[in-house]
Amino acid sequence: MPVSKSQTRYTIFFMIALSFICALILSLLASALAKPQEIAKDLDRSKEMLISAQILNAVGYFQVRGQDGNYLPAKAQPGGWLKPSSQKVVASDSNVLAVYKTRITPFLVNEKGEESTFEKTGIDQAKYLADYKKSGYYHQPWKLIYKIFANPTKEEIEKNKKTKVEGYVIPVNGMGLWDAIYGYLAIRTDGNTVIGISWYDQKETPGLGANISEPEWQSQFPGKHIFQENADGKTNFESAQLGITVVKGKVSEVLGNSPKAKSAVDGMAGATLTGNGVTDAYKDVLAAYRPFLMQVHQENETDKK
Amino acid sequence: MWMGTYDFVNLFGLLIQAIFIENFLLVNFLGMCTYLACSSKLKTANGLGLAVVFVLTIAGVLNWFVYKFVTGPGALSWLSFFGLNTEGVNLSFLTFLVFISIIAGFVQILEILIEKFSPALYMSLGLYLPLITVNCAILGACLFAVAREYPFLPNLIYVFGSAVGWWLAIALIAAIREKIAVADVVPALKGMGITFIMSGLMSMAFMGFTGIKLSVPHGTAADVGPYPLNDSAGSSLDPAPPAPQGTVK
Amino acid sequence: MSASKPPAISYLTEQLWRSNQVLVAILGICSALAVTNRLSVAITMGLSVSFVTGFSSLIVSFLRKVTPESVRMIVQLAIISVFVIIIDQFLQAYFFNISKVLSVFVGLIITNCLVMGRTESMAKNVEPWPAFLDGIGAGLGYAIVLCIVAFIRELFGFGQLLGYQIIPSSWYATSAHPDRYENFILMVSPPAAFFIIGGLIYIAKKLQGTKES
Repeated sequence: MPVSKSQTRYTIFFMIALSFICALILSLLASALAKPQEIAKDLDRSKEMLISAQILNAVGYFQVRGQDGNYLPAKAQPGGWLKPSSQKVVASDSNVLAVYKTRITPFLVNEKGEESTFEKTGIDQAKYLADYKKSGYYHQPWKLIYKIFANPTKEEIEKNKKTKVEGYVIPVNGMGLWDAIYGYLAIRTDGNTVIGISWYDQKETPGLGANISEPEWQSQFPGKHIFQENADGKTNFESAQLGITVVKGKVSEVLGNSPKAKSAVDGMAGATLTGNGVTDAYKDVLAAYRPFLMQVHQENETDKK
Repeated sequence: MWMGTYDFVNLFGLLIQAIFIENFLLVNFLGMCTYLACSSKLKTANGLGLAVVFVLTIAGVLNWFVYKFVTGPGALSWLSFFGLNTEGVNLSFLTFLVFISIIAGFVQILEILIEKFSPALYMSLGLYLPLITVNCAILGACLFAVAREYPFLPNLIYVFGSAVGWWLAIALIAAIREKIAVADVVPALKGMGITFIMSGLMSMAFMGFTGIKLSVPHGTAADVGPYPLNDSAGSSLDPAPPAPQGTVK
Repeated sequence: MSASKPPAISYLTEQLWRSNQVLVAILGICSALAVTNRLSVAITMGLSVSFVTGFSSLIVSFLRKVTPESVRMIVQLAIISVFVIIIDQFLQAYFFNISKVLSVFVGLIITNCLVMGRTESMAKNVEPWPAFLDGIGAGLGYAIVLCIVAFIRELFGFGQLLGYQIIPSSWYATSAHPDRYENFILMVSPPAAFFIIGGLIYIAKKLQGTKES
């Protein structure tokens, strides 16, 4: 179809103008929203980590661990410390970030169990976090791990004193049924007992495998041991099986009273493969942290004596 | 970048996964509109399917390059060759716009080329081409593929497999629809209603494929992560290097 | 050209039922099926589509006299993409959890036949204000269907609505009472969406009276 030259020129001019305007609008929008998006991502990650460390309840309020080991609701105070409260108040975003900053700090360990920080090794933290999220931090020579500090008191905040470490959070990733799964596993200072878990990124079947993100299923984990006990009740930290097993069916039926039950959780009906993915994830990731965990356990034992 | 850590068994598994297990139409439901709206004949379905296979495979590859070198995270690093520092530049918000433009542009060019070089092919295929520009399946497969960050060859297999799977599903639905058209269906369900119910049953049948895992590189997750980002991160096959200090490269 | 123009608001109401895009024109199903697992996701999707359809129809109508005929479709696509990207960026900033679930489906609004259908058939022929109302109406009609499907799926598949437990946990099966309610897992998987929409089409046809057999 013969088209006049001016028609063609007009069309080209129109397209260029339209593209320019579209690009301009979108660039302005993207720059304006870049900060809130960054905050939203950080908030999500912080929330999930605090949930695995049992500092934040899955419903949304803060909690502190009482003397008897049970968790009591708490409210965040200025400075980022938590005060037990009788009300269950859902935490605000700024409080979540403040508490996260106070209680959690990233550091690095290598396969010998030696500790270091991002500053000392010269690794760019933001780049490291982004680059190796998919392939797994546990594959790197310096593996990412987080310290959980105990809830400070008001005086400790004012004096800027750091409280003692009460646990560690390990980033876990593996392969579920459909796609990769990403989560956190929090361990006590004995290097063995689980504080809690969370799965913050998974694309499993809703209603089945996606239950790994449900608080009900996750509530089985606190108190489990990642180092499997022997039949005689002792644990050989060097050679014991390391990880949590998701069994097919109920632990009470499959394992009964065996010490293996301390390192196993019930499976989800109809989601065996997702469960297997979770088991493999813990097995593979924790293997990389074994020397560190053994060391932590040793220090904890000597501290107790 | 080209193959990542996938070997040929994984590629085959990926093909099976894309065609059957994660069938684009019956599991992700993408691409039904265009088909349902135009006809219920098997011939049309075949024409449409073939066109989609062609367009999706090539568009998927083109969009992979765009993602790798323009809009993905860290994609603009090649500009440093020209001395431009692109550290803080993130063009990911343009992804949708660029992808759809490439698809539309490619289809337009393809239509012109086919019309010029093969009028016979144009007669059978060319009429569907404008229709597939807006087919959810094309944009969908491209977006899914880059979300998973496949290396080049797995990406190619994935988009090709998705298109073939789509064609398969469309052809099956068309074949059944042709038969149902003369069956005794409740009046209010005739046409679209029964098609949906039938598609639901087919979707249930395809659910039987879940669980086949041939496409994870190197079998167990024990060796390497599922989707290695790029090989400049160092092959994750290497055991942790003995020297504990030193920066991560 | 008719001398009397229909009242502007009728553009909106027409789209809600008589010409409901999903149930009557069977457009827009693509994303309608995958995102109706949970009511909150369906509501977000429905509102996003309404926003995109309404505003793209508005802009396409504004530009209808200056758009060259040869690039008509790609101009519509570009305008639709801009609004979809606006929604996507907005969701990532302020509704991160939902954007995680929706992920690529927000992008697929671009190819949603419903949006293109409205811009192609209506927006380029009428003035901006009716076009906008038509777009919003089409989006809302789509949103209503989505919400109905999601309501059924979440209620029976999870026993919840918007995350709140509706089916009382005392009704659920336990080892003591194994014959009580179990979550209807099929509702949560893909086929159920097909069945429910098929059923809704049936109801719509019955209520609107079948004009053709």
